[in-house]
Amino acid sequence: MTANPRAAKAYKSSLKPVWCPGCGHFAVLSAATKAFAHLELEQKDVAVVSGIGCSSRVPAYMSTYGFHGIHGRALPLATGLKATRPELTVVVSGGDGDGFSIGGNHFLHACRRNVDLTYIVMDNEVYGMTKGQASPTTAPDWLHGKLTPQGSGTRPFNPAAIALSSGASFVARAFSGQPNEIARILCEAISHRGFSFVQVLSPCPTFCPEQKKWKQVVRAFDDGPTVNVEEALSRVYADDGYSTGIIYQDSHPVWQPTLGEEVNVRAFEQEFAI
Amino acid sequence: MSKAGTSALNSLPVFFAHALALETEAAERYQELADVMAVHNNPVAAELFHKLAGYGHQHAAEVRDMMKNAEPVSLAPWEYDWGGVEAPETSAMADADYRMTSAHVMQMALKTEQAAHDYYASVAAEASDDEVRRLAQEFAEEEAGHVEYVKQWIARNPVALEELPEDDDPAHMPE
Repeated sequence: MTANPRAAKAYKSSLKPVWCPGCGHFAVLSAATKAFAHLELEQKDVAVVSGIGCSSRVPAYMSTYGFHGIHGRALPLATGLKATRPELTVVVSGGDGDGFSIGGNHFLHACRRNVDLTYIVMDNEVYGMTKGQASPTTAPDWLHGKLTPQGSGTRPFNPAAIALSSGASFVARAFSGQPNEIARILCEAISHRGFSFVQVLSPCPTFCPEQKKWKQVVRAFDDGPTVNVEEALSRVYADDGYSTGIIYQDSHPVWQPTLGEEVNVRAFEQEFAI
Repeated sequence: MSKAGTSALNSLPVFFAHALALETEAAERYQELADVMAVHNNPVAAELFHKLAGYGHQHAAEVRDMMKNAEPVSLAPWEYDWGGVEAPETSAMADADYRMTSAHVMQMALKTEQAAHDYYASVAAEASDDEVRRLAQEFAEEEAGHVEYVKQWIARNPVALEELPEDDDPAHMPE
Protein backbone atom coordinates (compact mmCIF):
# COMPACT_ATOMS: atom_id res chain seq x y z
CA MET A 1 0.00 0.00 0.00
CA THR A 2 1.39 3.35 -0.94
CA ALA A 3 0.08 6.81 -0.24
CA ASN A 4 -1.78 8.21 -3.23
CA PRO A 5 -2.53 11.90 -2.94
CA ARG A 6 -4.68 12.04 -6.06
CA ALA A 7 -8.41 12.10 -5.40
CA ALA A 8 -10.88 10.51 -7.78
CA LYS A 9 -12.99 13.64 -7.55
CA ALA A 10 -10.26 15.60 -9.32
CA TYR A 11 -11.08 13.74 -12.54
CA LYS A 12 -14.68 14.93 -12.53
CA SER A 13 -15.63 18.15 -14.31
CA SER A 14 -17.93 20.77 -12.84
CA LEU A 15 -20.71 19.73 -15.22
CA LYS A 16 -23.41 17.75 -13.42
CA PRO A 17 -24.67 14.54 -15.05
CA VAL A 18 -28.18 14.66 -16.48
CA TRP A 19 -28.63 10.90 -16.17
CA CYS A 20 -31.79 9.73 -14.41
CA PRO A 21 -31.51 9.13 -10.65
CA GLY A 22 -30.87 5.42 -10.24
CA CYS A 23 -28.94 5.12 -13.52
CA GLY A 24 -26.06 2.65 -13.51
CA HIS A 25 -23.83 5.04 -15.46
CA PHE A 26 -23.07 7.05 -12.31
CA ALA A 27 -21.20 4.04 -10.95
CA VAL A 28 -19.15 3.70 -14.12
CA LEU A 29 -18.18 7.38 -14.03
CA SER A 30 -17.18 7.03 -10.39
CA ALA A 31 -15.26 3.82 -11.03
CA ALA A 32 -13.39 5.30 -13.98
CA THR A 33 -12.28 8.29 -11.92
CA LYS A 34 -11.20 5.96 -9.12
CA ALA A 35 -9.20 3.91 -11.60
CA PHE A 36 -7.49 7.01 -13.01
CA ALA A 37 -6.65 8.13 -9.47
CA HIS A 38 -5.30 4.73 -8.51
CA LEU A 39 -3.15 4.62 -11.63
CA GLU A 40 -2.01 8.18 -10.84
CA LEU A 41 -2.73 9.33 -14.38
CA GLU A 42 -2.37 13.02 -15.14
CA GLN A 43 -5.54 14.58 -16.56
CA LYS A 44 -3.51 15.93 -19.49
CA ASP A 45 -2.41 12.39 -20.37
CA VAL A 46 -5.91 10.92 -20.60
CA ALA A 47 -8.47 11.29 -23.38
CA VAL A 48 -11.99 9.94 -23.13
CA VAL A 49 -13.73 9.48 -26.47
CA SER A 50 -17.38 8.67 -27.04
CA GLY A 51 -20.14 8.46 -29.61
CA ILE A 52 -23.79 9.26 -28.94
CA GLY A 53 -26.14 8.14 -26.21
CA CYS A 54 -26.63 8.55 -22.47
CA SER A 55 -23.36 6.78 -21.66
CA SER A 56 -21.52 8.75 -24.34
CA ARG A 57 -21.90 11.87 -22.21
CA VAL A 58 -19.05 10.67 -20.00
CA PRO A 59 -16.29 12.84 -21.56
CA ALA A 60 -18.18 15.98 -20.54
CA TYR A 61 -18.27 14.84 -16.95
CA MET A 62 -14.52 14.36 -16.74
CA SER A 63 -11.71 16.86 -16.35
CA THR A 64 -9.48 14.92 -18.76
CA TYR A 65 -9.33 15.60 -22.48
CA GLY A 66 -12.44 14.36 -24.22
CA PHE A 67 -14.16 14.06 -27.57
CA HIS A 68 -17.92 13.58 -27.82
CA GLY A 69 -18.02 12.28 -31.37
CA ILE A 70 -20.70 11.07 -33.71
CA HIS A 71 -22.93 8.04 -33.38
CA GLY A 72 -21.08 4.75 -33.51
CA ARG A 73 -17.76 6.33 -34.48
CA ALA A 74 -16.05 6.54 -31.11
CA LEU A 75 -13.67 3.67 -31.87
CA PRO A 76 -12.34 5.05 -35.19
CA LEU A 77 -11.89 8.44 -33.53
CA ALA A 78 -10.03 6.88 -30.63
CA THR A 79 -7.95 4.73 -32.98
CA GLY A 80 -6.84 7.83 -34.87
CA LEU A 81 -6.00 9.61 -31.66
CA LYS A 82 -3.99 6.70 -30.27
CA ALA A 83 -2.18 6.26 -33.60
CA THR A 84 -0.96 9.84 -33.54
CA ARG A 85 -0.58 10.34 -29.79
CA PRO A 86 0.53 6.94 -28.52
CA GLU A 87 1.64 8.39 -25.18
CA LEU A 88 -1.98 9.16 -24.21
CA THR A 89 -4.18 6.81 -22.24
CA VAL A 90 -7.24 6.59 -24.47
CA VAL A 91 -10.50 5.37 -23.00
CA VAL A 92 -13.63 4.97 -25.09
CA SER A 93 -17.07 5.03 -23.52
CA GLY A 94 -20.46 4.30 -24.97
CA GLY A 95 -23.56 2.21 -24.89
CA ASP A 96 -24.86 -0.98 -26.45
CA GLY A 97 -26.67 0.79 -29.28
CA ASP A 98 -23.77 3.05 -30.19
CA GLY A 99 -21.20 0.30 -29.90
CA PHE A 100 -22.91 -2.80 -31.21
CA SER A 101 -25.38 -1.45 -33.75
CA ILE A 102 -24.37 1.86 -35.30
CA GLY A 103 -20.73 1.18 -34.50
CA GLY A 104 -20.87 -2.60 -34.69
CA ASN A 105 -18.48 -2.95 -37.57
CA HIS A 106 -15.94 -0.68 -35.90
CA PHE A 107 -16.17 -2.84 -32.79
CA LEU A 108 -15.19 -5.98 -34.71
CA HIS A 109 -12.20 -4.34 -36.31
CA ALA A 110 -11.03 -2.56 -33.17
CA CYS A 111 -10.94 -5.96 -31.45
CA ARG A 112 -9.08 -7.48 -34.41
CA ARG A 113 -6.65 -4.59 -34.81
CA ASN A 114 -5.78 -4.61 -31.09
CA VAL A 115 -5.11 -0.90 -30.73
CA ASP A 116 -4.07 0.00 -27.19
CA LEU A 117 -7.45 1.37 -26.09
CA THR A 118 -9.87 0.61 -23.30
CA TYR A 119 -13.47 0.37 -24.48
CA ILE A 120 -16.15 0.58 -21.79
CA VAL A 121 -19.63 -0.30 -22.96
CA MET A 122 -22.41 0.55 -20.52
CA ASP A 123 -24.93 -2.06 -21.54
CA ASN A 124 -28.52 -1.39 -20.49
CA GLU A 125 -30.05 -3.30 -23.39
CA VAL A 126 -31.95 -0.26 -24.61
CA TYR A 127 -31.67 3.01 -26.50
CA GLY A 128 -32.40 5.29 -23.56
CA MET A 129 -31.66 8.72 -24.98
CA THR A 130 -34.25 8.22 -27.74
CA LYS A 131 -36.82 7.02 -25.21
CA GLY A 132 -36.64 3.28 -25.11
CA GLN A 133 -36.13 1.27 -28.28
CA ALA A 134 -34.73 -2.27 -28.50
CA SER A 135 -30.96 -2.39 -28.96
CA PRO A 136 -28.72 -5.23 -30.17
CA THR A 137 -28.52 -6.68 -26.65
CA THR A 138 -32.26 -6.49 -25.89
CA ALA A 139 -33.99 -9.80 -25.15
CA PRO A 140 -36.23 -10.86 -28.08
CA ASP A 141 -39.31 -10.97 -25.85
CA TRP A 142 -38.87 -7.51 -24.27
CA LEU A 143 -42.31 -5.96 -24.72
CA HIS A 144 -41.77 -2.38 -23.56
CA GLY A 145 -40.21 -0.91 -26.67
CA LYS A 146 -42.56 1.40 -28.52
CA LEU A 147 -41.25 0.26 -31.90
CA THR A 148 -41.39 -3.42 -30.95
CA PRO A 149 -44.47 -3.83 -28.74
CA GLN A 150 -44.52 -7.58 -29.40
CA GLY A 151 -40.78 -7.95 -28.86
CA SER A 152 -38.00 -7.66 -31.40
CA GLY A 153 -37.98 -11.41 -32.01
CA THR A 154 -34.27 -11.27 -32.76
CA ARG A 155 -31.49 -13.00 -30.88
CA PRO A 156 -29.43 -10.63 -28.78
CA PHE A 157 -25.83 -9.84 -29.55
CA ASN A 158 -23.35 -11.50 -27.17
CA PRO A 159 -20.74 -8.77 -26.66
CA ALA A 160 -18.11 -10.87 -24.88
CA ALA A 161 -18.37 -13.70 -27.42
CA ILE A 162 -18.11 -11.29 -30.36
CA ALA A 163 -15.11 -9.56 -28.79
CA LEU A 164 -13.37 -12.88 -28.21
CA SER A 165 -14.03 -14.22 -31.66
CA SER A 166 -12.92 -10.93 -33.21
CA GLY A 167 -9.54 -11.12 -31.51
CA ALA A 168 -9.80 -8.80 -28.49
CA SER A 169 -6.88 -9.37 -26.15
CA PHE A 170 -8.74 -8.42 -22.94
CA VAL A 171 -12.41 -9.14 -22.32
CA ALA A 172 -14.25 -8.49 -19.06
CA ARG A 173 -17.75 -8.00 -17.73
CA ALA A 174 -18.71 -5.93 -14.68
CA PHE A 175 -21.86 -4.67 -12.96
CA SER A 176 -22.70 -1.09 -12.01
CA GLY A 177 -23.92 -2.26 -8.61
CA GLN A 178 -20.29 -3.08 -7.75
CA PRO A 179 -18.40 0.16 -8.47
CA ASN A 180 -15.20 -0.78 -6.65
CA GLU A 181 -15.00 -4.00 -8.65
CA ILE A 182 -15.49 -1.98 -11.84
CA ALA A 183 -12.58 0.21 -10.73
CA ARG A 184 -10.39 -2.87 -10.25
CA ILE A 185 -11.29 -4.24 -13.68
CA LEU A 186 -10.73 -0.84 -15.31
CA CYS A 187 -7.28 -0.58 -13.70
CA GLU A 188 -6.42 -3.96 -15.21
CA ALA A 189 -7.95 -3.00 -18.55
CA ILE A 190 -6.12 0.33 -18.80
CA SER A 191 -2.84 -1.29 -17.75
CA HIS A 192 -3.30 -4.01 -20.36
CA ARG A 193 -1.32 -3.38 -23.54
CA GLY A 194 -3.77 -3.78 -26.41
CA PHE A 195 -7.50 -3.51 -26.91
CA SER A 196 -9.35 -4.07 -23.64
CA PHE A 197 -13.10 -4.45 -23.76
CA VAL A 198 -15.16 -4.03 -20.59
CA GLN A 199 -18.90 -4.62 -20.79
CA VAL A 200 -20.63 -3.09 -17.78
CA LEU A 201 -24.17 -4.21 -17.03
CA SER A 202 -25.67 -0.82 -16.24
CA PRO A 203 -29.42 -0.77 -15.53
CA CYS A 204 -31.71 1.83 -17.07
CA PRO A 205 -34.27 2.63 -14.32
CA THR A 206 -36.50 4.62 -16.65
CA PHE A 207 -37.07 2.38 -19.65
CA CYS A 208 -36.12 -0.99 -18.13
CA PRO A 209 -37.06 -0.81 -14.44
CA GLU A 210 -37.09 -4.60 -14.40
CA GLN A 211 -33.27 -4.44 -14.57
CA LYS A 212 -33.25 -3.51 -10.87
CA LYS A 213 -33.40 -7.28 -10.35
CA TRP A 214 -29.97 -7.70 -11.92
CA LYS A 215 -28.33 -7.18 -8.53
CA GLN A 216 -29.96 -10.41 -7.37
CA VAL A 217 -28.56 -12.51 -10.21
CA VAL A 218 -25.12 -11.01 -10.83
CA ARG A 219 -22.24 -13.09 -9.46
CA ALA A 220 -18.55 -13.56 -10.18
CA PHE A 221 -17.28 -16.09 -12.71
CA ASP A 222 -15.97 -19.17 -10.90
CA ASP A 223 -12.58 -18.85 -12.57
CA GLY A 224 -10.20 -15.99 -13.23
CA PRO A 225 -8.99 -14.87 -16.65
CA THR A 226 -7.81 -17.46 -19.12
CA VAL A 227 -5.35 -17.10 -22.01
CA ASN A 228 -7.21 -19.78 -23.95
CA VAL A 229 -9.77 -18.19 -26.24
CA GLU A 230 -11.73 -21.43 -26.75
CA GLU A 231 -12.04 -21.86 -23.01
CA ALA A 232 -13.13 -18.22 -22.65
CA LEU A 233 -15.77 -18.69 -25.35
CA SER A 234 -17.03 -21.85 -23.63
CA ARG A 235 -17.41 -19.92 -20.37
CA VAL A 236 -19.24 -17.10 -22.09
CA TYR A 237 -21.62 -19.41 -23.97
CA ALA A 238 -22.31 -21.48 -20.84
CA ASP A 239 -23.16 -18.32 -18.91
CA ASP A 240 -26.48 -16.48 -18.77
CA GLY A 241 -24.78 -13.10 -19.20
CA TYR A 242 -24.76 -12.15 -15.54
CA SER A 243 -21.37 -13.49 -14.46
CA THR A 244 -18.72 -10.86 -13.97
CA GLY A 245 -14.95 -10.67 -13.93
CA ILE A 246 -12.04 -10.67 -16.34
CA ILE A 247 -12.80 -13.46 -18.77
CA TYR A 248 -9.81 -13.45 -21.08
CA GLN A 249 -6.45 -11.72 -21.17
CA ASP A 250 -3.53 -12.51 -23.43
CA SER A 251 -0.71 -10.73 -25.17
CA HIS A 252 -1.41 -10.05 -28.86
CA PRO A 253 0.57 -7.86 -31.25
CA VAL A 254 -0.58 -4.27 -30.79
CA TRP A 255 -1.40 -2.15 -33.82
CA GLN A 256 0.58 1.05 -33.54
CA PRO A 257 1.76 2.74 -36.74
CA THR A 258 5.24 4.15 -36.83
CA LEU A 259 4.90 7.86 -37.21
CA GLY A 260 6.63 9.17 -40.27
CA GLU A 261 8.21 12.54 -40.79
CA GLU A 262 5.82 15.44 -40.40
CA VAL A 263 4.63 16.76 -43.72
CA ASN A 264 6.22 19.98 -44.78
CA VAL A 265 3.28 21.98 -46.09
CA ARG A 266 5.38 24.05 -48.51
CA ALA A 267 6.96 20.94 -50.04
CA PHE A 268 3.54 19.36 -50.26
CA GLU A 269 2.11 22.40 -52.05
CA GLN A 270 5.08 22.49 -54.44
CA GLU A 271 4.62 18.83 -55.29
CA PHE A 272 1.04 19.44 -56.34
CA ALA A 273 1.51 22.90 -57.80
CA ILE A 274 0.08 23.35 -61.29
CA MET B 1 -24.35 -7.14 6.36
CA SER B 2 -21.32 -9.33 6.64
CA LYS B 3 -18.83 -8.37 9.27
CA ALA B 4 -15.89 -6.17 8.45
CA GLY B 5 -12.66 -8.03 7.86
CA THR B 6 -11.06 -7.04 11.11
CA SER B 7 -7.67 -8.47 10.22
CA ALA B 8 -7.14 -5.48 7.94
CA LEU B 9 -8.46 -3.12 10.57
CA ASN B 10 -6.08 -4.01 13.34
CA SER B 11 -3.87 -1.11 12.40
CA LEU B 12 -4.81 2.42 13.36
CA PRO B 13 -3.71 4.01 10.04
CA VAL B 14 -5.77 1.46 8.09
CA PHE B 15 -8.74 2.08 10.36
CA PHE B 16 -8.45 5.84 9.80
CA ALA B 17 -8.21 5.29 6.02
CA HIS B 18 -11.49 3.35 6.23
CA ALA B 19 -13.19 5.96 8.41
CA LEU B 20 -12.15 8.78 6.08
CA ALA B 21 -13.28 6.90 2.97
CA LEU B 22 -16.57 6.00 4.65
CA GLU B 23 -17.42 9.64 5.37
CA THR B 24 -16.00 11.05 2.14
CA GLU B 25 -17.78 8.59 -0.10
CA ALA B 26 -21.05 9.08 1.78
CA ALA B 27 -20.76 12.85 1.36
CA GLU B 28 -19.85 12.62 -2.32
CA ARG B 29 -22.76 10.28 -3.07
CA TYR B 30 -25.18 12.56 -1.20
CA GLN B 31 -23.87 15.49 -3.23
CA GLU B 32 -24.24 13.48 -6.44
CA LEU B 33 -27.84 12.72 -5.46
CA ALA B 34 -28.46 16.38 -4.59
CA ASP B 35 -27.16 17.44 -8.00
CA VAL B 36 -29.18 14.90 -9.94
CA MET B 37 -32.36 15.75 -8.02
CA ALA B 38 -31.79 19.42 -8.83
CA VAL B 39 -31.34 18.52 -12.51
CA HIS B 40 -34.61 16.57 -12.37
CA ASN B 41 -36.54 19.42 -10.79
CA ASN B 42 -36.94 17.90 -7.35
CA PRO B 43 -35.71 20.79 -5.17
CA VAL B 44 -36.99 19.29 -1.90
CA ALA B 45 -34.96 16.09 -2.26
CA ALA B 46 -32.02 18.09 -3.66
CA GLU B 47 -31.90 20.33 -0.61
CA LEU B 48 -32.10 17.43 1.83
CA PHE B 49 -29.37 15.48 0.04
CA HIS B 50 -27.26 18.63 -0.03
CA LYS B 51 -27.65 19.00 3.74
CA LEU B 52 -26.72 15.36 4.27
CA ALA B 53 -23.66 15.89 2.07
CA GLY B 54 -22.68 18.81 4.26
CA TYR B 55 -22.84 16.66 7.40
CA GLY B 56 -20.78 14.02 5.63
CA HIS B 57 -18.08 16.53 4.66
CA GLN B 58 -18.07 17.85 8.23
CA HIS B 59 -17.57 14.33 9.62
CA ALA B 60 -14.85 13.65 7.06
CA ALA B 61 -13.05 16.83 8.20
CA GLU B 62 -13.28 15.64 11.81
CA VAL B 63 -11.76 12.28 10.89
CA ARG B 64 -9.05 14.03 8.88
CA ASP B 65 -8.26 16.14 11.93
CA MET B 66 -8.05 13.09 14.18
CA MET B 67 -5.71 11.27 11.81
CA LYS B 68 -3.33 14.12 11.11
CA ASN B 69 -0.55 12.53 13.16
CA ALA B 70 -1.17 9.02 11.87
CA GLU B 71 0.91 7.42 9.14
CA PRO B 72 -0.89 8.10 5.81
CA VAL B 73 -2.24 5.00 4.13
CA SER B 74 -3.83 4.81 0.73
CA LEU B 75 -5.78 1.79 -0.41
CA ALA B 76 -7.07 0.86 -3.83
CA PRO B 77 -10.88 1.16 -4.00
CA TRP B 78 -11.26 -2.62 -3.94
CA GLU B 79 -8.88 -3.06 -1.01
CA TYR B 80 -11.23 -1.49 1.52
CA ASP B 81 -12.70 -4.08 3.78
CA TRP B 82 -16.34 -3.05 3.86
CA GLY B 83 -18.04 -6.41 3.94
CA GLY B 84 -20.18 -5.11 1.06
CA VAL B 85 -19.90 -3.63 -2.42
CA GLU B 86 -19.41 -0.04 -1.25
CA ALA B 87 -18.62 1.87 1.94
CA PRO B 88 -21.50 1.24 4.37
CA GLU B 89 -22.65 4.84 4.64
CA THR B 90 -22.83 5.31 0.88
CA SER B 91 -26.38 5.42 -0.46
CA ALA B 92 -27.06 3.08 -3.35
CA MET B 93 -27.67 5.16 -6.47
CA ALA B 94 -29.93 2.34 -7.67
CA ASP B 95 -32.36 3.17 -4.84
CA ALA B 96 -32.85 6.71 -6.07
CA ASP B 97 -35.83 7.91 -8.06
CA TYR B 98 -36.51 11.37 -9.45
CA ARG B 99 -39.88 11.40 -7.64
CA MET B 100 -38.41 10.82 -4.17
CA THR B 101 -40.02 12.77 -1.36
CA SER B 102 -38.23 13.97 1.77
CA ALA B 103 -39.52 10.83 3.49
CA HIS B 104 -37.82 8.62 0.92
CA VAL B 105 -34.60 10.58 1.32
CA MET B 106 -34.64 10.15 5.06
CA GLN B 107 -35.41 6.44 4.77
CA MET B 108 -32.37 6.16 2.53
CA ALA B 109 -30.32 8.06 5.13
CA LEU B 110 -31.61 5.79 7.90
CA LYS B 111 -30.47 2.72 5.99
CA THR B 112 -26.95 4.04 5.48
CA GLU B 113 -26.53 5.49 8.99
CA GLN B 114 -27.60 2.14 10.41
CA ALA B 115 -25.13 0.37 8.12
CA ALA B 116 -22.34 2.70 9.28
CA HIS B 117 -23.23 1.99 12.91
CA ASP B 118 -23.23 -1.77 12.30
CA TYR B 119 -19.89 -1.53 10.54
CA TYR B 120 -18.16 0.32 13.37
CA ALA B 121 -19.84 -1.92 15.96
CA SER B 122 -18.48 -5.01 14.23
CA VAL B 123 -14.97 -3.52 14.14
CA ALA B 124 -15.25 -2.57 17.82
CA ALA B 125 -16.33 -6.09 18.67
CA GLU B 126 -13.57 -7.85 16.80
CA ALA B 127 -10.50 -5.64 16.45
CA SER B 128 -7.52 -6.71 18.53
CA ASP B 129 -5.85 -3.30 18.58
CA ASP B 130 -6.99 -1.40 21.68
CA GLU B 131 -6.98 2.04 20.04
CA VAL B 132 -8.86 0.79 16.98
CA ARG B 133 -11.42 -0.86 19.25
CA ARG B 134 -11.86 2.29 21.33
CA LEU B 135 -12.24 4.57 18.32
CA ALA B 136 -14.58 2.15 16.52
CA GLN B 137 -16.76 2.08 19.63
CA GLU B 138 -16.76 5.89 19.75
CA PHE B 139 -17.66 6.13 16.06
CA ALA B 140 -20.38 3.48 16.48
CA GLU B 141 -21.94 5.55 19.27
CA GLU B 142 -21.79 8.64 17.09
CA GLU B 143 -23.49 6.78 14.24
CA ALA B 144 -26.12 5.53 16.70
CA GLY B 145 -26.82 9.19 17.46
CA HIS B 146 -27.32 9.87 13.75
CA VAL B 147 -29.66 6.88 13.48
CA GLU B 148 -31.70 8.23 16.38
CA TYR B 149 -31.81 11.72 14.84
CA VAL B 150 -33.08 10.37 11.52
CA LYS B 151 -35.64 8.16 13.28
CA GLN B 152 -36.96 11.17 15.18
CA TRP B 153 -37.21 13.16 11.95
CA ILE B 154 -39.21 10.33 10.36
CA ALA B 155 -41.47 10.09 13.43
CA ARG B 156 -42.17 13.82 13.24
CA ASN B 157 -42.96 13.63 9.52
CA PRO B 158 -44.90 10.41 9.04
CA VAL B 159 -45.83 9.84 5.40
CA ALA B 160 -46.60 6.80 3.31
CA LEU B 161 -43.49 5.40 1.67
CA GLU B 162 -45.04 2.67 -0.40
CA GLU B 163 -45.86 4.81 -3.39
CA LEU B 164 -43.87 7.41 -5.26
CA PRO B 165 -45.84 10.49 -6.34
CA GLU B 166 -47.58 10.31 -9.70
CA ASP B 167 -45.90 12.05 -12.62
CA ASP B 168 -48.32 13.15 -15.33
CA ASP B 169 -45.50 13.59 -17.82
CA PRO B 170 -43.05 10.76 -17.22
CA ALA B 171 -39.95 10.30 -19.32
CA HIS B 172 -41.25 7.08 -20.83
CA MET B 173 -44.56 8.61 -21.96
CA PRO B 174 -45.11 8.09 -25.73
CA GLU B 175 -44.54 11.25 -27.72
